[in-house]
Amino acid sequence: MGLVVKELHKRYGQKVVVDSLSFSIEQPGVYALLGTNGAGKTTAIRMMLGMLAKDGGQVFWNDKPLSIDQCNIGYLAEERGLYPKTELMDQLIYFASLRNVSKADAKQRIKYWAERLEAVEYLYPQQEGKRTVKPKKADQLSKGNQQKIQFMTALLSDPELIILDEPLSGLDPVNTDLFKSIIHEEINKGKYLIMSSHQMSTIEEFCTDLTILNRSKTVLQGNLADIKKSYGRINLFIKTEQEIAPLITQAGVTILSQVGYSYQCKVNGEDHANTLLKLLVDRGILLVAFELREPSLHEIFVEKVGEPHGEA
Amino acid sequence: MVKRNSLRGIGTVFQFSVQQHYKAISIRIFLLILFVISLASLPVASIFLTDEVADSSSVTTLYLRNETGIPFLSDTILADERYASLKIVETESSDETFASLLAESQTNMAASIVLDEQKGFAIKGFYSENSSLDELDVNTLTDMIAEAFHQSQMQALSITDEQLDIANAPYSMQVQLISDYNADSDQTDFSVHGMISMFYSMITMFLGTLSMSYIFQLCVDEKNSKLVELLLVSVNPLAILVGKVMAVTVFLTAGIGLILLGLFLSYLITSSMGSVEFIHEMFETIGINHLIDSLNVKTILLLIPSVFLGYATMALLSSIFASCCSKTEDIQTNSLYVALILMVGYMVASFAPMLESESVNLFVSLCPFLSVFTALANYICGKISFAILLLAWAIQIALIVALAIIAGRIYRMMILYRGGVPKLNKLIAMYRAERKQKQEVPHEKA
Repeated sequence: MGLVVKELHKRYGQKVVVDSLSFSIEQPGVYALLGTNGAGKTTAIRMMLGMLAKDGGQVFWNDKPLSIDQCNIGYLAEERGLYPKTELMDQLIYFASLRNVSKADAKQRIKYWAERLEAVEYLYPQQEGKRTVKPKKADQLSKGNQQKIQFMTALLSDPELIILDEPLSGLDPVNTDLFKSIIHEEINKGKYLIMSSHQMSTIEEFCTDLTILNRSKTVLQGNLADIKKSYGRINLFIKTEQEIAPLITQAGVTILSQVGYSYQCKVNGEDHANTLLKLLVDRGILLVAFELREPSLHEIFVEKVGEPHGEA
Repeated sequence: MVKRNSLRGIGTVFQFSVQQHYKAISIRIFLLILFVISLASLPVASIFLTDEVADSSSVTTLYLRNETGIPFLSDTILADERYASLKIVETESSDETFASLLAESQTNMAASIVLDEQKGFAIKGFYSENSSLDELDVNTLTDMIAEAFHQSQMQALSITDEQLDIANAPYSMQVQLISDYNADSDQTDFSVHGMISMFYSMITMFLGTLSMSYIFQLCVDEKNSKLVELLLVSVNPLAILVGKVMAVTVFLTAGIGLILLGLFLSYLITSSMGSVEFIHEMFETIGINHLIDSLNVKTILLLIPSVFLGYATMALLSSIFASCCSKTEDIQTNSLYVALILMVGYMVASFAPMLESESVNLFVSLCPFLSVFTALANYICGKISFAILLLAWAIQIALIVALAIIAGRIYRMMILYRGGVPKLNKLIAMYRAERKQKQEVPHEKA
């Protein structure tokens, strides 16, 4: 059951853009496909969906080759678009019809999603005093509101497999939370999701398993909790009311960053952290915070791809 | 699980494209203007032509010196509405005294008819430099004098118009084998063949050009909307393409239908207003009366499948070239190739009849691409048999199927392509890679 990707391979001329990518999603939930720009995430997704010719590999859905005819797929592409001069309602009904959703059913679903995504005013005529204002067209909407409509098109057919390529990019904090809550709802409904994002904290919030791609190659793959566990608790955060940098260095701990008397440090393990703690206590340092934790996904990502990659 | 089939996808794409096309106010206004123009065309033409006839001449008096000895039939001129009030004075005045006669009134005109042994008859019209007459007035009346004098000549010789027509009828000479003569007995001569061939190829060229512009625009708009990826998780690329080509067919059929309806109503209105004889005269003047004669139920029945096959061939060809365009600027380059093919087809259809060769007619009727321009005209003119026409249609259908497969694959291949128009070798390499994948994973539709 679920999605299985086997040895997916693509090259343009001599350049390999996806190098033998394999992964599987056996349980409903979010699978994260991460990587730097140009790592091959979107190409991999396009090949999985059959939009792009594969040079090798296979993709299965419930043990059968994945095809749009046997799997209801919801897709929010990285390259967003809408027909600029066409009424939004017409576009939504069109996309629903292409997925075999009847017009009446589509209208009901659009109504639900319009309310859920707070987009009613863009889809239905509004009464302004005595005047009826026509619904807007795509080119009259802001980027964030266009994204709401695009998100709606991805979910209208109640898909089994949802692929979201950078779903939260360009959204304000309020709409980000709105999108997040809908993603949580889809997870709770038992949907299979593949998510690609540069926002590591968001991915970390949702995903159970992941693949990190760097320059077409898979550099890390597996269950996020297991990956973090394998790294151990090596991140140490200390907050004091005085300068302790010399003491930290004395204990052989690396300071990654310092802001005032707050320190982000890296230790070799729990014993190493305990040695530093003992030293600080012995010297009578007042500790406001002393927290030992696993590395974040952001830190793991940066380590694996070998370059800093700020959250968008 | 959503179950879909390609037909359903085609229908939805088609319906949406048509619906959106006609929702645009600009399109509705354009169609309305088109209809009004066709509706008004014949009544307006009739009014203008009638006005031209009804305008009376500005010449009030004509001084005519006839030196030929043939009695001049003035009534022929006076019978014309324009010259009903014209005063014709026959005179023996010399050229010099003409000047004083012309000076008497600004609307006077003089003319002389002389017989020169070397040059034949000469008719000269004169008007004063102070005259209010313009050159057109003088020329028109001089033409009328010439016509009247011709009638006078005929009457003097007691020859009727019919006798004159027979005497002046053109003739041609031809030498050929009796077997060829028997085989070609029902053939049309090459000038008629050329005209009919040109007309039918013009229909294909006209439809091909119109569909080309629509298809190129639709393909580029789809790419620019950045919705392609969303469409591709819902529907087969071929369904998108075919749905759009079908929609373009409806736009064109509706547009042409509207023009024809307008012209038909226009004809009815004109005939209720008066004579429509001028239309037939106009056809004869232009020289397309043979063409009109060739239109009957049989040719119209043959025209429908022929036009459809021609349209489908050119529309699919346009689709292939349009698929390679990523932006509006690319349209110009790629549409040029299609326009070139259309021009070649049209030129061949126009010039092949001049060769009057049986083998050339057979070749152009069966040759893929050229066939859609030439086969029907060759059949109508008796240059090929019905069996050959059927064979030509079969070849055209095979070509359409092949083009549809290639167009579908190239559209699928190029739908996510961004960048300049790929060169032919790159396109072929991409096509081969796409085909290879299809062969390796035949069970995968996605």
